[in-house]
Amino acid sequence: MQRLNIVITGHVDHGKSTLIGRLLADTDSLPQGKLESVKKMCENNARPFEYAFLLDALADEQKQGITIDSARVFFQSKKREYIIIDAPGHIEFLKNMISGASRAEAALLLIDAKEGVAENSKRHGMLLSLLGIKQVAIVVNKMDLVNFSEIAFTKLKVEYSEYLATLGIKSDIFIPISAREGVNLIEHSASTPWYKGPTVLEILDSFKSVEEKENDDFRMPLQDVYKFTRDNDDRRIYAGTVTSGELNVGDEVVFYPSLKRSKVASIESFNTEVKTSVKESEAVGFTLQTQIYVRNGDVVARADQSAPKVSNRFEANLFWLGAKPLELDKPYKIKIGSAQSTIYLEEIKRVIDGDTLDRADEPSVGRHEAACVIFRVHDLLAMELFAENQKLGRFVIVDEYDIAGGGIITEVLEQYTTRRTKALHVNSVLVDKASESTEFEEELFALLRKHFPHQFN
Amino acid sequence: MNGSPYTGVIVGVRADEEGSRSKERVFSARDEKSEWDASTQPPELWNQYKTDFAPGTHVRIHPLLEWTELNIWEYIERENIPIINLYFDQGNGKRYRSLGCFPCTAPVDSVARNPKEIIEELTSGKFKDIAERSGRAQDKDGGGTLEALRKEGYM
Repeated sequence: MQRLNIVITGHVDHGKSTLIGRLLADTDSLPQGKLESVKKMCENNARPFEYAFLLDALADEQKQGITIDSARVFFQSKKREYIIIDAPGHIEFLKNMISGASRAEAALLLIDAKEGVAENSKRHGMLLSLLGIKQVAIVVNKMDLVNFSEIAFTKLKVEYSEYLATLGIKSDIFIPISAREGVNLIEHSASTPWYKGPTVLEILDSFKSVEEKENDDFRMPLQDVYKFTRDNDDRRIYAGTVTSGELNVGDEVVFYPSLKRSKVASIESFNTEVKTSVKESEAVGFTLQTQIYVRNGDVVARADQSAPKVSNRFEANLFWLGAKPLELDKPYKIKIGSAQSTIYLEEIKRVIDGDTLDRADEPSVGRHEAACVIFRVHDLLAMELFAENQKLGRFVIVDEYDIAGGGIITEVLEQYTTRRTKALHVNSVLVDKASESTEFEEELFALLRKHFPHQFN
Repeated sequence: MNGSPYTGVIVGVRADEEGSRSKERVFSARDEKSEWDASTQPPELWNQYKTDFAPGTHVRIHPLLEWTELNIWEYIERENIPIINLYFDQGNGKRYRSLGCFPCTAPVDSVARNPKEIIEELTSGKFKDIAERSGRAQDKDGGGTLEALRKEGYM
């Protein structure tokens, strides 16, 4: 059965556990007898039953090692199985929320109809957009507390849409629900005759899983070049995981930023039948018709398709989780695709925080804050706009030894160089020359191999 | 692991096995005192992992963290991987679903004799809603036990 990873986020007490409990119960996904036993327990303790207790009961079981997982909960619709990645609402758990949510393919963002938009409603909305989760439905919960009023719902919808628009998110999916009463979760409810949109389960079933998405142009961040020498095997295998698109034997490929090019001679994979084509998410290697020298971290694209951008400056939306603030002109490490380089924060355009949204003239970006910034990289890197290619448009920043922040590229800026024009010119001439004269390269390689054989073992 | 010449160990734990394992990261650092604090671990985002470590750090690497029990059996089936036969019916209607040391591992009632039958049990059969490690004693005792063991260096 097909699976979809979803994350349910929202401010503390806006009804996440109730929604999850109710979804589990109403889709018949609970272990046998669980609902009855929790109801009975409540009865015995003269306590009104709440669907949130189901989660507590499951958590207790999980502690004892009986059910599956405390971080994830499964439920099923007719169409597929859902894995709910738990996303704690509390700010201290933001790091865990982000680690979990970064693996989600779709999200439900819960807002309390009575309390309205809260700090974490905004923060989570922002983080979901930064994580690149495009499939988001906003679920307005506790509609029973506002008498299922269409006016209250519309007011909240307008307010939150305006906020989302400032983040560049267009979400027109707002669902009025009452998790406690099961309104609009699985079926439409008579309590909201004015609501004609999808129910929560309908919207979940309409989301696409990553595998269903269409192919884009071919991209593969180069992880390594494997060289073999035994038994006169002189293959150089260019290895990595395909992040998008398709590659076939005979295709001409270009490596970025080096601009070296060649044609694919063979596709290599371990212990499988001979392949002539590979596609997204496969981990593979290929050999080339000519031997070229490229660095790990280069991005491979097809010559007949679009090219990634190459620069050493870019603008990004970033969220910071490091213990120490992100500071200007201090060296950090960027990891993007399979490339790494030293990076410097050149400018903080504005700091976005959950409450006030925009603050200009900040000297640094603090923990749990997000910001719009400009970075300068030591080396030229192949990169993409996040809006065009998620996997090569996102990056993490390492401070000392830890991942301290993540972000998405919103604009690729003009290269900086101290002797800009000249260096650029010389660079491009050399690159052109180098890519034209593969013959030269082959001779050089033969010489190197002859005189430094131990380097090639 | 203290005092050994190794700076890292690759371990097959999975997040779906047990509560404390679900809090793990793919690259999980232990400091000089072998301490592991689940609440202060740096995040892992997308497919970018923590790959920089202070000198003296001991690293646990969990490449299968996101796999499920079902994934493991489907992989064993697809790749035809030989495994120890304790996982299959021992001829008495019992097999081991999870293996640990002698006193704390109990078999489960099952007549599955090969990966295919185990996959059937896990997807639609008797173990659909029952955890893999339900026969492992150290997961019980109020839930803190395996997390405490992990801090002490247990895998």
